[in-house]
Amino acid sequence: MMITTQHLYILIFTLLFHYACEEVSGPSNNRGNLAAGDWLIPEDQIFDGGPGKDGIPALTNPSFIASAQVGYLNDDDLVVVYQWGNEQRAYPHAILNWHEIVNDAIDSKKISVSYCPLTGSAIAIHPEFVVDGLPGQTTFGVSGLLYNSNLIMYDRLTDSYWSQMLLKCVSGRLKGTVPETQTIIETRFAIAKSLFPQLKVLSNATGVYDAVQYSIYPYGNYRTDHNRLLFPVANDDSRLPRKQRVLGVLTGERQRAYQFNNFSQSRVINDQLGELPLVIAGSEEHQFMVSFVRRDAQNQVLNLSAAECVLPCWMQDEKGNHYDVFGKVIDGPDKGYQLQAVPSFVAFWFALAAFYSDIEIYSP
Amino acid sequence: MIRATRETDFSYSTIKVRQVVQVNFKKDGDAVSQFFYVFLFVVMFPLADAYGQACCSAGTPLLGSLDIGATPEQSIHFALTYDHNLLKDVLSGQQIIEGNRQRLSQSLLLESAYGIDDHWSISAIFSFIQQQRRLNTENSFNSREELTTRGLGDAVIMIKYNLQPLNLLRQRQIAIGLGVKMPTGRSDLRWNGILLPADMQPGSGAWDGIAWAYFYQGFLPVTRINFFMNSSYRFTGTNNRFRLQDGPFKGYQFGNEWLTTGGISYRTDHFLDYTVLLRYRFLQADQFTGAKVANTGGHWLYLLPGINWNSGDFSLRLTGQIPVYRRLVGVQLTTSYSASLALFYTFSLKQNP
Repeated sequence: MMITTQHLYILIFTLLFHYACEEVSGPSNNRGNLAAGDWLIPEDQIFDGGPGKDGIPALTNPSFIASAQVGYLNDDDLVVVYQWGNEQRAYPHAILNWHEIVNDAIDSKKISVSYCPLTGSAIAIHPEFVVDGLPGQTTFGVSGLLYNSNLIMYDRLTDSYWSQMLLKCVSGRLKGTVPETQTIIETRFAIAKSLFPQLKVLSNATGVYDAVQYSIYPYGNYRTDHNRLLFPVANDDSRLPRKQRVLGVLTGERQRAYQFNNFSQSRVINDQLGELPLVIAGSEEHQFMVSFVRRDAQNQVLNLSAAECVLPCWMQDEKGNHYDVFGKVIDGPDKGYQLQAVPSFVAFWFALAAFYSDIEIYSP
Repeated sequence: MIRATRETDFSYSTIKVRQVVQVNFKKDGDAVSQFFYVFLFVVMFPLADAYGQACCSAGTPLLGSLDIGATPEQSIHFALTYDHNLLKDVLSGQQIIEGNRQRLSQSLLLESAYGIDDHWSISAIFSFIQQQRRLNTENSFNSREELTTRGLGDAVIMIKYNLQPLNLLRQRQIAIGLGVKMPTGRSDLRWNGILLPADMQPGSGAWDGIAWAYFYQGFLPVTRINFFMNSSYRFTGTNNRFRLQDGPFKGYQFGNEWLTTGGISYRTDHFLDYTVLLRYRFLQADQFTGAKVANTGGHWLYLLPGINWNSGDFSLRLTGQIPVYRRLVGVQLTTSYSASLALFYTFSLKQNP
């Protein structure tokens, strides 16, 4: 059979038709196991934020400098402070705005600090999980996906996907896993330096972007304009302004939000959330809030109050113990005792209300 | 085969214009259709194989293709344009900063126009879009995380009116037009069930209105240089790109756009025209939940050098687009350069005298 010009045209148009009908083709050479219908969260509320997977590059094993050497931060710039042993490290928002995740290690203890600029939420977790019955460590990356405007991370060990503010793996081999969260203090740089004189600060010489770039906030007036959102959220709660930063304390059954102005009269709040006795330490001036379970080593409920002592000392109990802002007894009969952390983090009000629609607002 | 020739002979001593139009109709296997199919093949095959490169929000260059004046009476005009737009520059305001991703936007535009009479003409533009995004460097999986979308894009229908039809004595044409951009392209493509961003969608999901104006001035016999300019303004509608039933997040509106292109062309004694254009683009910020969307909107100024090859009823145009000034709102990924290749064909339906 001779091949005529008509056959050639038909072949060309068949190929063209095939390619014209094919609409989306995705990553072809990684271990991505993202599959439709595999999510613990509503799939139709997950959005591709635009940059794509690793389009916002997470940092791994970055370098740190002494706080006295830092020249790229202003005193009012917010930093996230994490403490391990006797060492404190600060992860500035200025850098987190561009990388969202820092995979770090202090004395071989791994920590992943994440911050989502769109929800104003900073959370630190130990990236250690059991996979197929075996313990494993991993680092996290930015998936490029958003749920309620919030960062969805992925781990590089199993390529599972984690909702930052849900504090849970929501897709993949580790689906349902709850990470071990760590207490962090989010406060102004000047306060962090006074609280922790030996503070080490994440260097802006990251090797990814030019150091000057970290002086740019990449979202305009997003963090102050209460009308500005980039993506829909499941529950738009108008009880507070959308971009007001609040501390969300999360127990299994109930959640409660605390505002900075709750600390205008006192630096310590003793509260009860369900069966859980809580202490909230904070300062409107210093712009930080942190929460713990107020029980001692014998599981007795404590009553704490503001302490007249030198920073980082912050509060005291009726037994004469003095606690620092990380909830550790630094002086007193129970010296060395660590108050139990409770899942909590500071975030924009609209995001907390979107994730936890029944969240209460603390009222004294 | 439809074959038509248009010859325009300009003499330096006198203004003498001669137009010769021949129309021949012939059935299957004619050279025009063969050329058309081969051209499609040549253009589409690289598109189909280009799986791995680039991403980001350029939008379809529909307005930019409206740079042809009103079609002469009883003439049919076709233009097939391939546009290649690489977005690799990340800007904060006017400052170039670093980013981790890039995008390649490729468009195939087909414009057909018909001149109803001396004043009125109608044109339509259809588009086919391919968007690709990828990382600038490999990630820990040795992957560029390449994602490609393709499909029919939005279409434009426009009515044009010649306020002053091209008069070969005065060598001037002034035309205006009104049109509508129809959301014929999909704006809800998903990957693994997840809605992709607007800048990876072939369509905008919204109806827009377009106002257009065109001016042309020739200067024969003094010079072979002529000047032309066109300006268009797009009034954007609202889309429901998040596919919500109701609530404050239902509507998303892309920013209104103003595009003005002006420049000169020079015709040589041979078959070549050289063009140098400047194109200014202003984009308002997008609107969502009653507020401006961060990192949208801005001002761009481009230089467009080009060359036309004319042969009878056909002409082929190659144009580059080089940014010379950019002032963007916030941080945005934007065009590093673009290039387009267009094939034009015009023939008249009038009988030969």
